[in-house]
Amino acid sequence: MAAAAEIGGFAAARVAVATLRPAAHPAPAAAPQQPRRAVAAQSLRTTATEALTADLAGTTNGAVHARMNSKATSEITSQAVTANSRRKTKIVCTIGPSTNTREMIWKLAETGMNVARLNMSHGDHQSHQKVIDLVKEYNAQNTDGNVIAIMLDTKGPEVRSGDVPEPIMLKEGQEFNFTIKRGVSTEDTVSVNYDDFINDVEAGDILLVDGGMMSLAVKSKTTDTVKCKVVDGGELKSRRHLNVRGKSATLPSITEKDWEDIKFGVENGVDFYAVSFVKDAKVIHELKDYLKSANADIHVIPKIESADSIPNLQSIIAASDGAMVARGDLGAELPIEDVPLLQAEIVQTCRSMEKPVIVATNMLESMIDHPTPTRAEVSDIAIAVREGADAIMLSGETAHGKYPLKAVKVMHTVALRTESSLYNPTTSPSLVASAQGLQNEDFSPSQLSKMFGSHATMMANTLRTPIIVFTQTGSMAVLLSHYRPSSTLFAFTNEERVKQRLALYQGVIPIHMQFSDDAEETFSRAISSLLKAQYVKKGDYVTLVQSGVTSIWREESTHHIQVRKVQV
Amino acid sequence: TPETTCAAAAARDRRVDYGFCVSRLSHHHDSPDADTWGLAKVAADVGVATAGDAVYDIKALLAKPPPDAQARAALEQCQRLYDAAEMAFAEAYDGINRRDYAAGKGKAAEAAALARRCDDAFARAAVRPPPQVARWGEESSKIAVVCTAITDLIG
Repeated sequence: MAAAAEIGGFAAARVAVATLRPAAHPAPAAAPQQPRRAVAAQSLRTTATEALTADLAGTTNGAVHARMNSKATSEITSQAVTANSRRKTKIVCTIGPSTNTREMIWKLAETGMNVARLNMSHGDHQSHQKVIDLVKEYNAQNTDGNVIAIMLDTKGPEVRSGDVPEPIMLKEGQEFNFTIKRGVSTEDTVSVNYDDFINDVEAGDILLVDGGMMSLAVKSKTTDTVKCKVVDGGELKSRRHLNVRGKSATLPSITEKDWEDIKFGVENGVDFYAVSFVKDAKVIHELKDYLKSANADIHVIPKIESADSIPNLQSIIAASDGAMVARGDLGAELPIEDVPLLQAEIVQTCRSMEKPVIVATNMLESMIDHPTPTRAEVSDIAIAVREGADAIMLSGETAHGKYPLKAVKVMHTVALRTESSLYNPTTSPSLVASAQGLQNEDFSPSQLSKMFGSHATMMANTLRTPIIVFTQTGSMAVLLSHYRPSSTLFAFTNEERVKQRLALYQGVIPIHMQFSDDAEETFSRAISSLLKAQYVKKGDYVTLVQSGVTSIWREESTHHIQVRKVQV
Repeated sequence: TPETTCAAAAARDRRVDYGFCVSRLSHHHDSPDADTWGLAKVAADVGVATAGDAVYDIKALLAKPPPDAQARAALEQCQRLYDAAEMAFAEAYDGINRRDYAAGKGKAAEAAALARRCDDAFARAAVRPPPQVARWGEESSKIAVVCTAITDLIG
C-alpha cells in the first residue's frame, strides 16, 4: 500500500513535468551521457535546454522530458527513509556579555546558532571586533559543517526606554531614573536601549518621552544612570521614544554613529546589516549606494519595527535583501493585538518576493532569567516556523541572559519538532508564484529557473531525497529554499561570500568547494564531502539540480535535474 | 473573482487585455480570496514579480555579454530601469494598500514608463532587444494598465 502510494506520487510528479512540454517545440531529447567517474547516474533524468546566443538573436527552447527505468523505480521506492534530523529554520543569536567568549561562541554554534548578531546599541567596536574574529575563526575550523554568518545590527536614530511588565505611573515632581544597564525595570528606574545615552545627556536637559507626552528634567548622572525629576507626568509603557529637547530635532535616517558602525562592518566583511527604524525605502537605497561605492557585498535587512514602516512595507522589502519582524517595538507602537497579523503579513510578503525573513523579539524572553520556557513562548516559535520564517532570533536571551545555551537548545528543539509535522512527500506549499504551464510561449531564464525550482522540489519531496545544487551567485539555492523542500538543500558554491550569506536561508546547508571543469568530477567531490560529513551515506539517492543565471561547465544555459544514487 | 474583475476592468478601459489579466492574476496566491481592492494589489505585486524577472533575465544575458558594446550598454541601462520599475510597482502596491489610489496609479504608470525607456535604449543603440527583454517590457506595460483599471473599480 505504501509503495503504491509512493509510485502514485512519483507518477504525479512525472505528469507535472510532462505538462511543461511546449506544443510548438517538440525537440528530441538528447541522449543521456554515461558517467565517467565512480559516482554514477541512475535512470531518472529531466532535461531542458536553452541556448543564449551571443548575438542576442533569441533562444531556442528544448523540450522537457522525464525518463526512468523500472529498476531505479523499484530501488527508489524501496529506499529506507531515515528521519531528517537537520533543522531547517535558522537561529540568529545576539552575542553579548553572556556569550562573547571563545568557549561560548563554540558552544552556541554547536547547539544551533546559524547567525551571530552584533547589537551596535551596546558595547564598542573593540568588543564587537573580538566576536567577529572568533566567529571567523570558528568558520575557518569548520569548513564542512555549520557556517556562522555575521549580522551587524545598527542602533538607528531613535533611543527608547526598555520593556516594563506593567506601565509605570510617573507623577509630577517624583524622582525617576534611566539606566544603561540592561533589563532593568523597577518603580523608579528603567533601562534605555543605547549605551552612549549616558554621554548624550547633561544635567539641565529636558528629556521628552514620546515627543513630549511626558517630560523629565535631568538632575545628575552616574557612570550608568541618568537621574531625573518628573516635570510632566503620565504612564510610562514599554519602549517609549526618548529625546532631548532641542537636540536631534530632525533625526537622520542613518546617524553619524550608524555610519561609523557600517564602516566597521565593511572593514570586517560582515554578511548582513540589520537596519533599525526603517520607515521607507529611501534609507535602504542610501545604504546600498554606499555599499556599492565601497565595493562591499553585504546584504541589507530592514527591521520592521515602527508604525511608519507598515504603510511602505512592499517598497521597503522590494528595496532590501530580506526583512526582520521586530515585534517588540511593533507592539509598542501599534495595538498589540495587531502584531500577530503584521508578522504574518511581513513573512508572507518576504516569501512572495523570495527574500529571507527573520522573526525576532521576545521569543524566549522568560529564559533570560529562567531555565525553561513558557508554553506560550514555545507556541510562538512554532507559529513562526509554520508561517515559513527563514530564521528566528534570540536577543537578550543570549546577549545577557542566564541560560543562553538552554535558550538555543529550546529554539532548536521546538523548530525541529514543528518542521517534522509540516512536510509530507507529495506537496510543497509555497508562496512563490507557481510555475506556469506556458503554451506556445518562449521560455525565459527566469521562468525556466522557477519551473525547475518548483519541479526539483516536487521530485525531491516525492522521492524523499535531499537536493544538491551548484551555484556561483546563490540565486538557485535561494529559489529552491523558497519552495521549502522537505529535505535538506546542500548548496555548493565556489564563492566564500555566497556561502556565508546562504547560512540565513531556510533549509540550506552551504558548503564551499572549488568547481572543476568536469561536471562529474565536481559532483564526485561534492558527494565525497557529504559522505565525509555524514550527511548522506552509500546507497542514498540525491536530486541534483544544475541551473541558474550562469551555467557551470557549459556554454549554453542548460537546466538539468537528475536523481542519482550515491556510490563510492 | 479575477474573471469578473478583469471583465469589468476591460469594459472600463479597452487597453486592458482580458486574457492576460485573468492569466496573471489567477496564478497569484492571494487572488482566490481577494476583493477588488485585493486584486488591485495583486496586480501591483505581479508587476513587482514581472520587473524582477526582467532583471533576472538581463543578468543572465549580461553573464555572457554580447560583443556589441552598444547592446551591452543598453542591457546595463535596462537592468537599472527594471530595478527602478520593480520599486515603482512595489510603491504602487503600498499606495493602493494605504487606499491612496492616486499615488498607487501614479506609481504603476511610472513603472510602465521606466520599462518603455528600456525599449528606447535599444532603439537608440539601433539594436533589436532580445525577445525576453521585449516581452517583459510588453508585460510590464500590460500589468500596469490592469493595475490602474482595477484600482479605478474600487469603491
